[in-house]
Amino acid sequence: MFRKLKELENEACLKIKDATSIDELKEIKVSILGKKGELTTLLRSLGAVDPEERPKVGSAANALRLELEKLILGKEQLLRDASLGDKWAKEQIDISLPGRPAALGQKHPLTLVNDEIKEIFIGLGFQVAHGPEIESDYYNYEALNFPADHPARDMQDSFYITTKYLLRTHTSPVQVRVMEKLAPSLPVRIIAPGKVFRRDDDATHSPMFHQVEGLVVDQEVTFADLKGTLLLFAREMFGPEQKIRLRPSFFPFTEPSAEVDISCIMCASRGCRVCSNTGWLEILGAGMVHPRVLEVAGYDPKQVTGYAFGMGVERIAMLKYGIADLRLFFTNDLRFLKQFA
Amino acid sequence: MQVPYRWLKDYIDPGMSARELADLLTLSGIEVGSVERFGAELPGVVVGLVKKVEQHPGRSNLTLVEVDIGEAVLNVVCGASNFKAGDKVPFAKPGSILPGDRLINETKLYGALSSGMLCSAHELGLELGAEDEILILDEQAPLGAPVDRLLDLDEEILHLELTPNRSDCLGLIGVAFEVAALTGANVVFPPCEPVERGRNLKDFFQVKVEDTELCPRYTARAIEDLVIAKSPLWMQLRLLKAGIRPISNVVDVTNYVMWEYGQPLHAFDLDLLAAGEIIVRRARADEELITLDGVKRKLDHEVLIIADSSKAVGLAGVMGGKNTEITAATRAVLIEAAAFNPKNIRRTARCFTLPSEASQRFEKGVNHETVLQAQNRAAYLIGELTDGKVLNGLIDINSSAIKPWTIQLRPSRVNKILGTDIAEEEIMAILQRLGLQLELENEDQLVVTVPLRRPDLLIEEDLVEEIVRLHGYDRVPTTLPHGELIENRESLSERLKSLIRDLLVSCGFYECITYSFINPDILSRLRIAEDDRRMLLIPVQNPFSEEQAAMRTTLLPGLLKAAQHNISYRELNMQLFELGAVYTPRELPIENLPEETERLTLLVSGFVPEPSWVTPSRRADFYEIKGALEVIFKRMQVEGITYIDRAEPFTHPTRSAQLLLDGLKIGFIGELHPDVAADFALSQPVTLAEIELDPLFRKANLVPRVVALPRYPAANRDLAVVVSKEISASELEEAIWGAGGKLLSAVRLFDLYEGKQVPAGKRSLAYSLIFRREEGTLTEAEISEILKKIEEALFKFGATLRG
Repeated sequence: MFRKLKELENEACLKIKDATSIDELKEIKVSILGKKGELTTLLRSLGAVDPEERPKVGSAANALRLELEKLILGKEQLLRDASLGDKWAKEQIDISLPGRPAALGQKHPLTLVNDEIKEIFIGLGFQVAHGPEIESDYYNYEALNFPADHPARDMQDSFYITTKYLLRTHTSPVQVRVMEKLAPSLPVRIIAPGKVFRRDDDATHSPMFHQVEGLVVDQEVTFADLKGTLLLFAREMFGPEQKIRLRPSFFPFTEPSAEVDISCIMCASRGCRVCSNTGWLEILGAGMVHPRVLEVAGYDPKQVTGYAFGMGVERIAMLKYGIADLRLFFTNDLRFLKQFA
Repeated sequence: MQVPYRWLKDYIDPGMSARELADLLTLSGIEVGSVERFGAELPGVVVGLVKKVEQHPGRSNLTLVEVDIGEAVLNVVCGASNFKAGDKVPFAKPGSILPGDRLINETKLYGALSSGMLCSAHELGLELGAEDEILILDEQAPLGAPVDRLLDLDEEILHLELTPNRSDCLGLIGVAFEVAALTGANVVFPPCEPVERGRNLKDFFQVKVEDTELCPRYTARAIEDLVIAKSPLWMQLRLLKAGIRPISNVVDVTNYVMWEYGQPLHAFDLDLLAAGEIIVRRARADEELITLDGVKRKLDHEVLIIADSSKAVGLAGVMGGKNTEITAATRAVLIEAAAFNPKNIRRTARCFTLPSEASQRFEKGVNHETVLQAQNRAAYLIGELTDGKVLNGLIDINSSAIKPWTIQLRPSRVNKILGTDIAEEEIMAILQRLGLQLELENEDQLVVTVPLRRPDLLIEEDLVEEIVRLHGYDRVPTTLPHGELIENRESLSERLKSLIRDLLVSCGFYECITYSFINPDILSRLRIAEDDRRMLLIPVQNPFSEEQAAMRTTLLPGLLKAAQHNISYRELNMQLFELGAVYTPRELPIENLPEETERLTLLVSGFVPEPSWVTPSRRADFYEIKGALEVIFKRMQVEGITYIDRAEPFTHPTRSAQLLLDGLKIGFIGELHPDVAADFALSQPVTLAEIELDPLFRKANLVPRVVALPRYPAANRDLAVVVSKEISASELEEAIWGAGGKLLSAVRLFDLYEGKQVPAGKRSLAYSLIFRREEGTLTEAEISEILKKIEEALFKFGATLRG
């Protein structure tokens, strides 16, 4: 009985495959699955089978019926499509035409980078703080341990409004403003993005640019924590293989201070023009908050420590997107902006 | 600070190459910007001995010179005349290559064969002497030796980029101390005990310091019977390598010693100082001084000067006076080595815009102790290099009270700040390498004595930095801060700004960022009236140019510039926006922080969307911006926005609207006035808008209230009317709503037509109306009845139904 089923299957499959018209396919269907069809007939003779075998043969025959019906349906669709050739030809579209444009704009690349920096630090539990762009000399310099008439002020040439007010030269004044507001409560954990201004205007300096400041003050904040935070940031921003290097430096409001380099993303640290063959790229300044700054802002430097860092958003955007000319950020040329769409 | 490597080696042997030292310095906090070879290679240029000099037979201005270079004796024609037989000179053999790829060949000059060339310093790439002057080498220079090696032209120069706290490295000996701390090598001091001869300075000369606060120490020595000449070639070369122009033996020595000790010195012509006296005093209000650069300076009481009994002879610490300058006629000099008040020097240098190597060092403070060493070193060198007599006696007016100071250091605190585990022994070893004296007072309590050469070390944290930078920043572990969680969601206004950016980006707009300062002139070009709030500008005191002369009160100038720029590059289709602060003074000149408020500014021009094969483009106009703003208002669920017909001074009189929120102006939309557009060279219509964000943010609500979905289907009817153009769309819509009653649920204007098919002065408006009842389906009769009411309401405006 099983042999007969197998023979029937082979024969039926061949016939279906070779059918050339829908009518022929219908005939084949009737001849096999119809009331008097071969499979039906075969099933009728089931009574003669050993009762033990009967259920197995029955289910095999049913499976065959289902399979053949599926085959016939598939073949039928193929034959129908083939018969409608003219209709399809008339309805043909050119799939190589460009798609219907969706009118989307884009944020400025500096906003994109700023948003990403914020996202990384918010994910680490930092708050986002803001401060005024026109600042007092006190917050911009004095409270940050830049004494009046001190050469350290030459590091940042300022645009003055009056002798007392100026355009902030860095986002660091926000450190002091936030600490003053929160002292003596702990922890302080903020970033402060924003515009800053320096009296510089050449191929590598813009009179206005953007920084993101970071500040953590708590009972046991260490230089190692600063390193760990910045390593994590560099990897989130530039990829999991990133390394960082800290070099001793000087800022009046941190001690110890560091310049922070990341491994050159252009040449994978092999040395290239962008990193002046050092394999490293400077991206930010950082350090442990100077005790005088903590004190002025209302914290007891014997009880708490803190770290701070400040990074240039343009610098990071230039490295991340391979932008060679700083001025592109502020001419708002659509040929530039559209590259981020 | 330029550090010639071989010169540095006079004071310390780092035991490594210049480049290795540069890396070591950089990683420990003295950044070396670059390491460069000083001079060019000079293949074929050797030491030659001038044997004979004869007149050229044909040309009176040329000579024939016979030169012995050891391997051969050659004849050359020479145009210079500053040498004689017996002099050693640089000789470029035929085939040698001079800087600038200049190839020297055998040539015939006016009939005489010239087999090579005698070289001037300039021809060797050195800024020494006159251009046509042959460089005279030392008598001992070995014949035939390569000149580049003889002159150490391959010496490497380390360019230090010093931070303001490390003024101790503004002298090579200071750098040597740093190298000692890094390598453990010893610092060797140069000889500085002059041989004193002749009369005693104190017998005929005196120094009076009238203001000891501005001049805590002043020392003087005198040298007599000297001849001003060039300094020896080795010293001139070293100064060149340091970036200093050699001048004469005495001046060169003062600069040389400054480079060694970081202590600026000054030399006066002793014979030109009246009445054997130096007075250090504040200038009088009416005093004047012609400084060495030939400029007449008007002085004031804040300026500290060096004077003799009759006149000012120098700006203390900044620049000497012309009246006592060292000249070829000088026979005796007075050397000044002093310490001045840094702030005062800084003021004077700034006031006269005279930054110099000297003022730069005084501004940062010189070591009061080494003033004397530098003085003696200079006297020693002048004594050695000239025939002059260093006189007996030294004047030292010292009122300096600075003594080495102590800092308490707890090793446990070092590790607590750093998050490290540095052993106490290592901490002590590092401090000792830095040349600091230590005393273990108690357990975990060190008393550290700091020498005067490190004024940057004042508190415990300063020592922590010294320890960690010598321990190695790379050896500090990486950990993350731990502590309490804090609420850190961004503020509502920041989230709303992000939302606005996202919505505008979806509407096809590109974000711009423009400068926060503007040229005030642009506001007058926008015809903004003097009494407009936007004219309340906060001026910048020290802009580079008018472009940064004032803080912006509107973002329009920035976007207009962006439009100009894009149009000039044929990027004609644009939808731009900027979100940023404007600055409003509370009073002028400001005495309080001004108000900084957020504005949203939009600009459209050209066609949107970009012309394509499939989507029709339209001219980006008023409605483009209005539509985008409506998206924002809707998402923030801000109600109460109305528009009134009113133009800005710079917008089209009949294509402008003022935006009101609850009756108060928050901004405008308008096409740029064609005349203004022409003035800005904008060759196509531009439409602008600017709105204040704070009033909007106060009313914003980002949480929609959801109502249950209607259970019965709605009925849709279209209605088209022809009506006078005088009737505004909003009047009609209001009437429709008024007449439609509760059962009208939506009104949408889907067509607007003006043209041939309607009478002149009229337009056709077609509305799609949706009717709905909460409970049950509306009957045809009910709908007809409402429709009729609506039609009647519209007829009151003179409208007629359009077939």
